[in-house]
Amino acid sequence: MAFQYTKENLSKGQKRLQRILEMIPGVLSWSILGGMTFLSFYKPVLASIIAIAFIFYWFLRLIYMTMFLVISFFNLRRHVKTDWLNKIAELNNGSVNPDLPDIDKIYHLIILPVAKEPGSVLEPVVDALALQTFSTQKLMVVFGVEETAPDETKQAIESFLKKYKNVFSEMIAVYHPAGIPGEARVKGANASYAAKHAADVLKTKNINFENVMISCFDADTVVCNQYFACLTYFYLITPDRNRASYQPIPVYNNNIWNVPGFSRVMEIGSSFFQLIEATNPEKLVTFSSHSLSFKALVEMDYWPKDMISDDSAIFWKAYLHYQGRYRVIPLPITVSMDATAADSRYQTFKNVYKQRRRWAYGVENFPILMRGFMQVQEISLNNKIRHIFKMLEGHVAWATWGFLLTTLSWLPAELAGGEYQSSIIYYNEPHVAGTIFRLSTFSLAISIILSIAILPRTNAKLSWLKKLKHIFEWFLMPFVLVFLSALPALDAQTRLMLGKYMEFWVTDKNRKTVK
Amino acid sequence: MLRKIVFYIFIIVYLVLCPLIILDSLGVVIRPKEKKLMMSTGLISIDTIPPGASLYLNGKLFPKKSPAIIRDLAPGSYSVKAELPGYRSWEKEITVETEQATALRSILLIPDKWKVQTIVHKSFIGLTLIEGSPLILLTDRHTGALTVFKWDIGLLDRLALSEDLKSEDWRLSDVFPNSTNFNKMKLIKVITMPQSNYILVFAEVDGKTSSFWIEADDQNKPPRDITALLPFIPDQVRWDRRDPENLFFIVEKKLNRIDVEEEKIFPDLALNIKGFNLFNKKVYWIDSEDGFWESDVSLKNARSLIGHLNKIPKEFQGALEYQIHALSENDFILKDENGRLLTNKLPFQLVEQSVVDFDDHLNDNRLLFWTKNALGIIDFNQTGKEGIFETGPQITWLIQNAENIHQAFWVNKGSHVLFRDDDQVKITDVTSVGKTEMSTLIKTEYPVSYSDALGKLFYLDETTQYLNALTVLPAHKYVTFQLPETFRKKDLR
Repeated sequence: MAFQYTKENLSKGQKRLQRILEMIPGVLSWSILGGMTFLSFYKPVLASIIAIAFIFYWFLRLIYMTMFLVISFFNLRRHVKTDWLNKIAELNNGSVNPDLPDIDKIYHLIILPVAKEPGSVLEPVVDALALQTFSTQKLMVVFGVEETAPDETKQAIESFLKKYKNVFSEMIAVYHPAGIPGEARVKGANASYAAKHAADVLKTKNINFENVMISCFDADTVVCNQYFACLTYFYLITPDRNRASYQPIPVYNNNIWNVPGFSRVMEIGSSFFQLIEATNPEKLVTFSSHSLSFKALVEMDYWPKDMISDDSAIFWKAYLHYQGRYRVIPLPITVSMDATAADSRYQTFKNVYKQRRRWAYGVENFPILMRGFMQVQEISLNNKIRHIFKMLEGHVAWATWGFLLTTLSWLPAELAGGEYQSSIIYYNEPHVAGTIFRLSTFSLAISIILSIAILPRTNAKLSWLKKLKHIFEWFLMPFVLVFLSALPALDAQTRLMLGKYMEFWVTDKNRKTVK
Repeated sequence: MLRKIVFYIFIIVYLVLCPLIILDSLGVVIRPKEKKLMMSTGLISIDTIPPGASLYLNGKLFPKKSPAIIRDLAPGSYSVKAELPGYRSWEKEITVETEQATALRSILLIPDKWKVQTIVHKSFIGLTLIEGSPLILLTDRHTGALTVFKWDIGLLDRLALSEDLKSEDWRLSDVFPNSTNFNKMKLIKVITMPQSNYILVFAEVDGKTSSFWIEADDQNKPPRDITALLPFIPDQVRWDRRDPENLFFIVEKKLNRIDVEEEKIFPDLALNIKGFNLFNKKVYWIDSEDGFWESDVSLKNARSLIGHLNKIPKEFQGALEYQIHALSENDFILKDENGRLLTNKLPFQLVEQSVVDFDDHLNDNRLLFWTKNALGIIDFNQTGKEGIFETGPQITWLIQNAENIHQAFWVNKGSHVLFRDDDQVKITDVTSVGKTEMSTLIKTEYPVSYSDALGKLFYLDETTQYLNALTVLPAHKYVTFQLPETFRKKDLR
């Protein structure tokens, strides 16, 4: 029985189960935060012991992640100059592999969902597609345009259609009507609508879906000129290639020097997270812009149309659809997007907060996946536990660690009094925590060095001064950790817990400079 | 594969190191070569004012200076000494217990020579600092005029930060800047309330007593002449710092109220009053029938505070007058005309007689009180016991052979007490009971004022009568936040 990856149209029992499961992440996060506050009041010695155990655990995990960040970074660096077209050609040299599909028959379908982005944001995206080393005549570009998009956006798209008419195999705009029954105002609904339209076009052209890869990008995703060559290469060498998604490393370099420091640190942190995740393909989940087999997408009935986190949801949908025989292949190549920006620092802060909340709302996958795992028996229990634990632990850690790290070392000392203040641990806990935090600056130093290396060159006259300033921006980390990471995540989980569901909020892609 | 190997290595590291770190934090020392593998220890936390003192434990020097935490100490008795050039050495015997921290907080090192600065080069004959307010009231030596010294919050910081006070940092303002005839007045009495910027001044004008209600820190507001409402000096006057519109006073044992804003007097609100006070916009009083009452300022809604009793307990009865002091809405300290000190908590009577005054500004349940010859502390946190019977809060006598104690103040949040005995101002360490060490700061026959927030003793120089400030707490106490160095017993040299 095919599992329906949605929370809509459920039976009464399933609806109740879904509701209970929706509450679990929020309840866990609040219990951890409330529990630690309670213990700090009434059992401060126990709270201090837990705090030390936690901070040491966090430290080891930080070192562990830093190690893999460095490995992943150098792996990415190693492939910067790789000629992927040449590598594709090498695959066919000598004895031709009979398992390889005919490269000349492979097509790439690119979906660009557009909500309100101006032409200035879209133009570099299309330009980058036109500059691919892979034949652009094998690229089919589809703008999935919300019907409610501003006229300026629609006019810009029409001008692109004229300008690039002969560059790509096909370039079309599909206007997605608002208010289709069964759809929420989410990106997945627009992308699915555009992909279905593209499927019709492919059919008329007699192109086999098995030979088509689909890349669903954000409207600001600028790919490097080797992206489709690299993607094709990994598609060709991956066994059971249609049962996999292909995940590049997202970086936010389009406007990274024009955003406030806190936003820059946040975005680089996100890139680093993906770099670390890329070293663990077994547990990798799709995020942001990525690619997959069009055949698989059609077989699983496209993206969920009622979920905000379409990027991760599509992986879980595929994982359940193919009964656990689906995975993510990391690509050693970057795609560049816009860092969140607005006219003022305050507005940028608000936008970053909303964007992070939207990302953290990926926790909406938890209840659906749990129900899916209960129904799909073919997936091993071990795999179910592994994935559920990683998802739940990841989201709960996201919502709580920022608060715990910034408060645990002093909370018992502040809240408790009396006997606790004459205990040894009252004096030792801040000392142990302080030592661990000092040691963790080693990891911070590595992050700073890597961030300098990963950032694009700036056109500013005193670029070294900008980079120096960027080094100090990393010391905003405690602030960022609490207000732009833990708080929005807790907000998202609380909304899901209370049944106050979120809808898609389009992040401003403002290229204005914030000084 | 690599990831899995590293993962398991990290798990092993965590499982081994985490318990060791936790045990270490709990003061458990692992001794692989000893018979008893683990030993529970204690620690000493010590910080001095000023910081940077050399520390000795049982005569052995530590490599780091104060503030410091000395860990891994086996239970037992230790001699701790702090030494800083220019200051007297400080030494104490302390007991360390397992899993316990012995805190020696804010040890005030007494300098060999006190730092004194002249703040205003002008002669005065009287000085009053309003507790908790940025004002000092000074009486001009030559004209008898009242002068206000004021510092604002910014200046307060500068005072704390900078050792070199300059007279221009202080705004000297005449209370009556626009009055041409004030100098012809003769100042009789000034009444202040803790933390209130208002003062009540009684002066003789043309041979008659006049009263003025003054917002002392605002030069733009002229003094309000309330002589029509209060043409004499009453027995007791009080107002609530949160409600300076209402002045309460007693005349012939009758409680009266003046609404200063409305310029109205509400006479005879309560009769046969033995004593009263205000707290949190409420009036408390004891009447001649030994009833204890509480009311709002109108005194129309009086509520008895003695429950179903007819009178306050017998320990309170017999007094003619009370000085009532509310620590909270449920905690009161009372002093009668014989200097007997009482509280509404058992065993009611704290000191039998002769108490001159007390200071409760510490907010840590300790009360400083003094008689003519003795200085004591009542600690409400520590209740004594005789057999199975509680004997009430413990009283510690710091000094019992003084000449004539006029004033006393808490210093350094209660670690020391500063007091004026006869013509000498002295300081003593509250913690060194048994062998009280005292240090004389200055000699003066005038009243002095001490601000613990500023760490300064204000006084009039005996010879010049200029306003001087003596630094009791060094300024950097307020600006440096030094994390204590933590080191182990094995670091002893």
